[in-house]
Amino acid sequence: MRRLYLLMGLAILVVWLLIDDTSAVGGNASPAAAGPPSAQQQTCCPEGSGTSPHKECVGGACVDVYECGFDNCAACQGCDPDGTKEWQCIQQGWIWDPFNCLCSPPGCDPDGSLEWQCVGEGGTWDPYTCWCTMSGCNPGPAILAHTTSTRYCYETGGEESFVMECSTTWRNYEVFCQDGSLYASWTIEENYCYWNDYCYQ
Amino acid sequence: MNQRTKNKRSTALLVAIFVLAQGSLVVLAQAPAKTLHDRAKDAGGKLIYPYDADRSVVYPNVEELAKHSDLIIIGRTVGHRARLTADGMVVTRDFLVKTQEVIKGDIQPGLGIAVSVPGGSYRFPDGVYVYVRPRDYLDAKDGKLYVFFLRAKGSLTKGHQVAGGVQGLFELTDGGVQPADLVADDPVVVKYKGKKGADFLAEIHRAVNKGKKRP
Repeated sequence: MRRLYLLMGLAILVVWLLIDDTSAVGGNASPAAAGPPSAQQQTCCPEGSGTSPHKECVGGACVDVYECGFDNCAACQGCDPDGTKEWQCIQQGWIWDPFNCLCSPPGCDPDGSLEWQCVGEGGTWDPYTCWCTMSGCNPGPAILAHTTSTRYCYETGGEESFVMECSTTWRNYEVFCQDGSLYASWTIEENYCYWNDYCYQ
Repeated sequence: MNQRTKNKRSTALLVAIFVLAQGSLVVLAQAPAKTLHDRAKDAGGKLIYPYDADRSVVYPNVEELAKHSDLIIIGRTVGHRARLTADGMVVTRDFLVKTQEVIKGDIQPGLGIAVSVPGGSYRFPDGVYVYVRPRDYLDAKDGKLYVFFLRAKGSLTKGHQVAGGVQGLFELTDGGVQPADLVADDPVVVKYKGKKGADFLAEIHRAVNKGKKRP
């Protein structure tokens, strides 16, 4: 209901602004204040001088320029216009610099596993040196503390809806510091579903 | 532009900012008034919560997604932990993502960043379990390569949130792009599902460059 009020308020605001903009264009407002040049202005360019707006490469980006001229974004296409080099670089797990089209090796922790392990054990990770600084906790290994499960039914929806029976198992892991205090806990769910029209019975 | 119009526009801008701020607060919202803990207790200690992605805004293409993203990265998910949001209404999987490219935003490529995606299990200290089950989008998985269109970190989650609900999450596979969004007629699914990785990346770069203003 709250969202509905907000939307109604926004709609009224838009109508109000539209009415105001119309009067401004018809009144004392200059053409420049009436927003971007319209298609009408495209005809204002002398013959042979292109269109307004036209596209140009400005600061490495292909943008609309509101002057007479011809589209020319050739300089903007960069060194990898079709994304092939970028895709190859990304796929092999390296780091891509789109501004210079450079593909660099990923450094001392290529797949992030060292960082993940460090953070998981309560350390602070330095990505530049790949140093893991441990806190005072000195956490032990993760222990499976609880396991519980439940079952439920649901319909897939859509034109051909199926009734599925699912079971979910939760495994709760805990990590303790050397002094016995709980350092971290998390839950992993495992789901198994199969088609069962009689699930609700 | 006369003074009256200026005043009117200023007022309108303030109202719009207020409305948008309200909108940002409903990210990850759709949850009923009760917390997940209370709902799970009511359900006998175990709750399966079928969760639909936030669709309060639907972007038509990567250009619009890019405009409304603070950060666009390509990276591999290293691992995740499920966490309860600060308001206790949703569980998110918080992924550590190893960035391989930063297309938009001010972070160093190669660093790990946290991304929060709704879904996952959580066990409360009193033993109550809840599982937020994605209903209309694919779970992100560990060890996969994704393009992330992200919003700045909010106060509710530990990591960055995906822009456009889950519209801004695309897995890059050898077989083509796989949007996380499972709604078949969603514009980004229609446009990009199955598209070749290189073509998709080139399109994102074009979209981001197009969005840059003339200096």
